[in-house]
Amino acid sequence: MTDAASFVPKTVYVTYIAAAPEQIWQALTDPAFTRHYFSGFAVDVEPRADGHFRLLYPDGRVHIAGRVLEWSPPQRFACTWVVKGMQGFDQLPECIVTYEIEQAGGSCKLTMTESHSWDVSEAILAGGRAGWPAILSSLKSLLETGNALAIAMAPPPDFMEAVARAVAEKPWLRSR
Amino acid sequence: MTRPHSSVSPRLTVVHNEFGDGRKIFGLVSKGWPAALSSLKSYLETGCGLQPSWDEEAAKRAAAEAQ
Repeated sequence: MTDAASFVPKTVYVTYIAAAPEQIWQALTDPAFTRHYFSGFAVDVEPRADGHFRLLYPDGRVHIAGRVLEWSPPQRFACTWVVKGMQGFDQLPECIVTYEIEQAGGSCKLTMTESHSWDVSEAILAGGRAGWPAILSSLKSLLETGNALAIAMAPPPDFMEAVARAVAEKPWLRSR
Repeated sequence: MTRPHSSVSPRLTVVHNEFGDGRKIFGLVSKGWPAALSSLKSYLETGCGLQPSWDEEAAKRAAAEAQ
């Protein structure tokens, strides 16, 4: 069982969206939406605490796998997050991704928090810090205009090497 | 700074730094910039800016600090 209290927020991204909380919730949890703004991935989530959470490639292979930690529509959704099918990545400790949706006047505030249980390096965090703004900007555009954004994504410099180093050295075993 | 991040969508990066000891200012602008830039994006894409409720945000902050 994941002890969420041992995880520390490392990356927080906030955006405001002209949409109802229920629409943002649907965009986060319905594959018909995520395919458009989340690099083509289809979300597959069991709508309950401890249900499974996945992001799937168009051919059905698993890209992200985790468990639902909190399912409180339309305000809070948290899940664990492990990258699958990429060399070494699934040996990294799981992280926790939390979405929080709050009404803010005529629009809604969406906060994404990526939390880690170990002293994860800046070079690894750079992956999420490049990806989340692109993904969540595209989600906002999709809800407000009906069109997602076309954004070319590539891993930041040293990201793949930093993951390989962490998998080899396993610093999380030392910090416990 | 903006740069052509892809054929379609530019990326806008705002850097606001050199706060010195102004941690309080840093906390406030960290809340303000996402609202302002979200509104800018909406305005450019839809013709309508957002109307985030600064009063609600301020009231929430005051309540949180009072606890």
